[in-house]
Amino acid sequence: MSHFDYHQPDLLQEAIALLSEYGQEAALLAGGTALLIDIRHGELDPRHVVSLWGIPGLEAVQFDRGSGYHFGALVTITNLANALVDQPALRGLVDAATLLGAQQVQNVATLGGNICKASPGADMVPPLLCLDAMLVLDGPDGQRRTPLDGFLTGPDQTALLPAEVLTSIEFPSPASRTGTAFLKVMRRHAVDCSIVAVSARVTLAEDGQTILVARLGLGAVAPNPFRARQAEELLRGQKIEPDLLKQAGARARSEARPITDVRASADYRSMLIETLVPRALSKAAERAVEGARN
Amino acid sequence: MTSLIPIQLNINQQDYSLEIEPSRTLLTVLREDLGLTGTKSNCQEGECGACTVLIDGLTVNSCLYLAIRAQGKKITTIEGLAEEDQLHPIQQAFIENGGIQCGYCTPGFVMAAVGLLLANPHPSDDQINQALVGNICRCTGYVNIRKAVHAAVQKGGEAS
Repeated sequence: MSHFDYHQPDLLQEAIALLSEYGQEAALLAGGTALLIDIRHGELDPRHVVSLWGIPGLEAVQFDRGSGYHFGALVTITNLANALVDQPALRGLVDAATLLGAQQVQNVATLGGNICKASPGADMVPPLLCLDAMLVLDGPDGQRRTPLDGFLTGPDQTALLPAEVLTSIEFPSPASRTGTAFLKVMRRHAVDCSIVAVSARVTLAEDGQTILVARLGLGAVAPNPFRARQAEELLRGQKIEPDLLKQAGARARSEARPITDVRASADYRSMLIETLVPRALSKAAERAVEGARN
Repeated sequence: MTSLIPIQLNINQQDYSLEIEPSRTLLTVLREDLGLTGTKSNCQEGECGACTVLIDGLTVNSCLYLAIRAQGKKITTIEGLAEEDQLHPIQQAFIENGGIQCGYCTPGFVMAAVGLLLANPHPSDDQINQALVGNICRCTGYVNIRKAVHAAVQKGGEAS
């Protein structure tokens, strides 16, 4: 392991000042489950590690129907799943959380860290894209809000400005008759990176069949998780039926840019998209109907 | 050269004062500085679970956790489970059910099971499986490991 100085500021402004001072030599520590591996593998070699754990408020979870959901960037994957256990419309997000590594990783890894690591297969990103998540970023010039969609700009790349910190993740309360789902194919259950991950959100009209809003988030089939917008558009206003879901799968496949790597071939990934997209949509739709009944 | 930082750790209800480099993981401090070698080093990537310890009652891969971050928290390692001559019920169940072959993965599996029962004293079969997915046994002794955890769960409350 390389050598670095460790800083644990008590205030967000101090963390931002440290990041400004040390620039490229600094790395932020959230859960650390990715950071320590990157350091060990020599992919990162920070001279300064700035821990966020002394800063109050970053572990907070808040929600109500009016203002929606707010998660501090340091909310662990375990705490996120526990907080949402009674939220049927967010089951897709909870499913993603329970498939992000094993309990040992979920207890430590954070929502903010999973986003900012910007991995092509980041598990929490597809469901959050489906929920139209917004990010709150704090930096030397104050605070700004930006959509998660567009924030990831490549593997390990984000739109964070120098010395900026992701402090909070927010999304609105889902409309009634909304269901979400998350499906992930991997080599070993729960402790592996995705070969393909597909997340879906479906909001149905009062007839329980017409799709008012559809969202599709795909992971591990492009430089970053992304929304299959053409497939979403194809679904909007249509009645849920097998042919339509199949078409959406084919369209999503054409929107992806999978690569061949150690986990799977690009062809296999493409086939998985076509299989998983209809399944995720139909599961989300089933859950939307169930939710409306309860 | 980075200087040494003084830290205090509470491990198995005992306080330790140490001077370490901030880049040291909890795993290396436990094994190399404190001689607590029951916690095993293996994949170093959070995939195998051999280095599992409890921090404030939650299972953690100690290879992916900086020792300096564990200050002010209660750390439990495999050495901290037995009370005097009395093994922890999970440890006893591993012995009685043949849940140990070469033994290398055993401390990690035991800690994962203890962590599960602390969070959930009456887990379902699925929850038991889910709690063990982060641990690998290269002897492939999973059948008896699961049997051991089931046996400890059935014996009930005393496990936690």
